[in-house]
Amino acid sequence: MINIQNLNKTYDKFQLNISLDIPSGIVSGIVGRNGAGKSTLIKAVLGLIKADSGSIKTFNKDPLLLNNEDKQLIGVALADSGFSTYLCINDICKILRKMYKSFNETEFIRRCEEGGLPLNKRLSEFSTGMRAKLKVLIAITHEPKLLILDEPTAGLDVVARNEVLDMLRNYLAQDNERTLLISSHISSDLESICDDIYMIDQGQIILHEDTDKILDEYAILKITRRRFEEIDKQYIIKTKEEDFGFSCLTNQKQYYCDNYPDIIIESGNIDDMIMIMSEVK
Amino acid sequence: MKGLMAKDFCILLQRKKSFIIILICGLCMSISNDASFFVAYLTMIGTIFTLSTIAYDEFDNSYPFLMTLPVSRKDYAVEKYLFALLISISLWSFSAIIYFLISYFREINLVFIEEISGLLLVLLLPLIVVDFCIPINLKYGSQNSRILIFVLWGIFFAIGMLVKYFIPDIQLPVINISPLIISLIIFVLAIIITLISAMFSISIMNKKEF
Repeated sequence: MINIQNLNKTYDKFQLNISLDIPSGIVSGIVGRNGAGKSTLIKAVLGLIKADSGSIKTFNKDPLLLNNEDKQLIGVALADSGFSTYLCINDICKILRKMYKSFNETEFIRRCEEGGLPLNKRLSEFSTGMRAKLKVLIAITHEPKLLILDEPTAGLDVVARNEVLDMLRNYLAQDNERTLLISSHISSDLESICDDIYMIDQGQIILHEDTDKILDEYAILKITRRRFEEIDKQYIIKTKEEDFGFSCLTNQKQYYCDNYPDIIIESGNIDDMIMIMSEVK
Repeated sequence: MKGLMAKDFCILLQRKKSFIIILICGLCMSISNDASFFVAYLTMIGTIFTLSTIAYDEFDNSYPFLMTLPVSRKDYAVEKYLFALLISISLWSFSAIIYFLISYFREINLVFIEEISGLLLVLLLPLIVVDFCIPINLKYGSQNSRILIFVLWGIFFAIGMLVKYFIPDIQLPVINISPLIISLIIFVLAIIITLISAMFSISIMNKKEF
């Protein structure tokens, strides 16, 4: 569905250099710190920016060559962009009706009302949560095959986040062939919805793994300096120096559980993994 | 394209109150003074309103999202011209009918062909503004282009004044052609200029990164 080979995009002090493959029917998450390159990657996939080098294929086409028929099959919600906030939902409904052949107006209005979104109020009067819900509804109501969401839960409280995630789960549950690429800096959102996760830092993929594997097999070992010298380091992916000694990321949790029962082993927590992988103090 | 038109129309309706006030002012002026002024006034104001839709797209950073909808960059640029022309022609037609009605009630004898050719020339003005402003707005953004357009109009005005000052007695050749034919020739030229302007706008959109 999406294939990226050696995508390179350089800005003044930032370079994106990424390869990834997202097959049809897969839910892939991109996680990383602010400024890691998540939005740049999504913009490149959508053809909003041009790559300096490398190849990007969305529906087997260069995103810049996607025609209007191809775009009918894509639903998008961007973090910092959407319809003018001078418009109201009724206006948006008129626009989407003319934009998408398969836009389900009745369903859209029903879901808006169900989600407590007023139809006649300007978007500028909406709360952050209401805007986020509306963005996702706009992206999914024409039933796209490929859904691309950039930070759909950013700035939301836990209730609003769950509502947005529930909308996505329902959308995905209706058809196994639906593909979702979602970025977030809130790792717990991705853990609950994604089949695999790409961890990005400074424009590079620093880890790509199935979510189940991350949760089951990855762990963080908290080890004192003296003990660190003694343990087998062949399954340690990355080490970070701490005040107490070292935090070590491993993808063989069971091995260390069995052989070193005295050390502290914390199960896969993506936030901690990002801290270690991206060498954040 | 239809979706973009619907979007711009919805945005335009947000300013319906200001437009109604402008319309009433224009009607009052046309009743008390020269009714032909009303045609130029309403058509021009309507065109400026349509150009403001670019600023609305920019204001909430809507560009990236709009480009993910089933519309191409070319569609976006072309739609701005079509929308401006659609609104300008609608307002021109409406104001021209008002003009003829006022003239009829004032019992002014009008030569229809001459009046229509004069009014057609009025429609040229918004076309020139559209051809000039859309590429500049797309290239430099609505904020910067406001300053740029102001400066450019100033330069054109200064050149005009200098020409008038240094060459005061320009004798234009007398051409014995019907005003309607002249209007039509000017219109063909205007269409060519509009096509060139649209090509510039499409090229600007194609090069843009969002």
